[in-house]
Amino acid sequence: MYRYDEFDAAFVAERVAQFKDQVARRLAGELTDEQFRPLRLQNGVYLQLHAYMLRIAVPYGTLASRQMRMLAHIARRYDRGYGHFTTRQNIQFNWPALADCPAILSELASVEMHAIQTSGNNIRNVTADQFAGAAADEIEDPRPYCEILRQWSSLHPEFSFLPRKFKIAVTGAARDRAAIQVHDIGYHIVRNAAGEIGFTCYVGGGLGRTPLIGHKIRDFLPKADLLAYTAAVVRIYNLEGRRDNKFKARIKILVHDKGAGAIRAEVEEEFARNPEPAIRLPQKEIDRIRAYFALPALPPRSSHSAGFAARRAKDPAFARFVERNVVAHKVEGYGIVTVSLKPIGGIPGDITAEQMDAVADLAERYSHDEVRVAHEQNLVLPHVALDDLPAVFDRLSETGLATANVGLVTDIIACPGLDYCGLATARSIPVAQRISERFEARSREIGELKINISGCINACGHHHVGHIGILGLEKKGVESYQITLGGSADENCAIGEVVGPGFSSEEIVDAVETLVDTYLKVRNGKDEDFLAAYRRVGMAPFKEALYERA
Amino acid sequence: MLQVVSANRLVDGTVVYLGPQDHWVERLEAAAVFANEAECETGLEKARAAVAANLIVDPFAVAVVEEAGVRRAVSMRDAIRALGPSIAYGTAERR
Repeated sequence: MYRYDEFDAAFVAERVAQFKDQVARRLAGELTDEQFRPLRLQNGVYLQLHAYMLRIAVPYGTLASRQMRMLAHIARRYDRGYGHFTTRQNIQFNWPALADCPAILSELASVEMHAIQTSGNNIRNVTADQFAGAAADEIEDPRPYCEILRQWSSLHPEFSFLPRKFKIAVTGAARDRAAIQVHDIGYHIVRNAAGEIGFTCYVGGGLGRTPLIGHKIRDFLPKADLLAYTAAVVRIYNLEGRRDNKFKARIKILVHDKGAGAIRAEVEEEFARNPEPAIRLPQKEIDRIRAYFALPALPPRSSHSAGFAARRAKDPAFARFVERNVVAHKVEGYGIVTVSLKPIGGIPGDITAEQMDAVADLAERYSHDEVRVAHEQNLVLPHVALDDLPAVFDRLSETGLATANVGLVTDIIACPGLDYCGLATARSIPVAQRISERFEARSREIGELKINISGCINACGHHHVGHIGILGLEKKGVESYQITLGGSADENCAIGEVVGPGFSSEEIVDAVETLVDTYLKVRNGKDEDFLAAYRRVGMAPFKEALYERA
Repeated sequence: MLQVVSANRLVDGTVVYLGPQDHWVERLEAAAVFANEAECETGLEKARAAVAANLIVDPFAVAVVEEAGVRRAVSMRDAIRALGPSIAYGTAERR
């Protein structure tokens, strides 16, 4: 994985020193809150409902064991012994003292981590497929291009004060696991008719109060032009995006208002103008960055592991874990293991310091020192030999991390909601917990079903792209939950449709069960998952089942 | 409606309330109570002074009720803010 060079190390160290001074000046009263707020936000420090919150960047969701151990250390020393992985592959600590934040950032810098651009109107953490570099269906690892974008966009003088935040995602496989079409820019690595590898570019996707799917504005962008084309898009947005209304300031609104065709023409014109020839990427530089992400040396192994097969045959719990949490690796004899952070009745994305250490140990011993963070709020061990899977499973079981539910109804995405967030209008976590408990016994019978929950219209829980989406609102002082159906974040991206009037906190889990039972009645066998069935039969039977009780 | 004044302490972000002796206290039960919004303005004035003195940030009035000797915030948001997250978290969650 990428290692800081001298420039990176100096740049992050300077930022830590700056912020240490800024915090000292704030605590001494030399800076007002108004003056200090943008400075703390630029370093990932928010003030939430109960305390400060520190959001730490995990570039393209890739962590080394020593970085995971540092997160565990921070959780123990400066927070309350746990952290929360987010839907943008970052981690948040919910209870740090402002006075400790410079020390935390200094400790993070020692393992090449920071919190820069995890807030503010700039280019945020670039996200990627959590299986990048390991997936059997991958054309090319997207992370080198994420890293190139990260280096280019960090403290970029032209793009540090955009109209609003700007999110880029890159995926390298036909199957989109990075939700690229609901990002400001989504890059999909593709191969053209000539066999060359480049990017399809989507612009103007996003969720929040105005959910929109990105428009394809380029079928094929050569790798060398990645930065120049990105700069053209962001420059057009920087010049034309609205600054008079925060709620209409994202690029998706500009694309929607002007039309994708007009934006495409402007971007292409700006790109052709080529104002910065220096950012055309030389192959040598691409190769230099790609070398950091080279596949680890994986000794050849047979696709048939006797130990793995024997354990699978005799241990149903292990067999279920393999069925749900392990997918094919590009190298024979290895698997990609998803570590679910969705224990039944637990808090989606939360992990204790002890569990972080356990995952770090497993990564070091069995996964070539790598951990990934998925935007679904799970972790991934990307390079595990099939022979080692029983040992990995046993250790995960000991630490409460072996829940075999990836992709099932209990693998719920949920934002922190009103239990933590200053913006939230309703709680998300308790709803997720109750749904998880309700469906535990029959989750495998139900099959693939993504439930996403947001505690306000800002949609951090990505409810619009859940097969079942739940949006928590406040109506006359009481929580009310609106349901959407048919959303999807993959390559067949869709925004869910609102099914009807909302449900109270007491009613919402029953309502979800009604939807699930309806699906089970209408599906054409177990091979037709919830989304496929919904797309075939439409909203009507679900709506009828939900509201016939009224 | 009864009111108290709340804020977050600057140094660590902890939720605090203006107390009867104009100190900032951590428990809603220990907060100074104002009879209505107009009277609460004196508390908010003290809060603005505390902001200027770099003790607290983001002060605001919180509507409360007192029933059977128990004080609670009226809105769910303020109630969660007073009591902490409504869910067990961290190591408590794993027990």
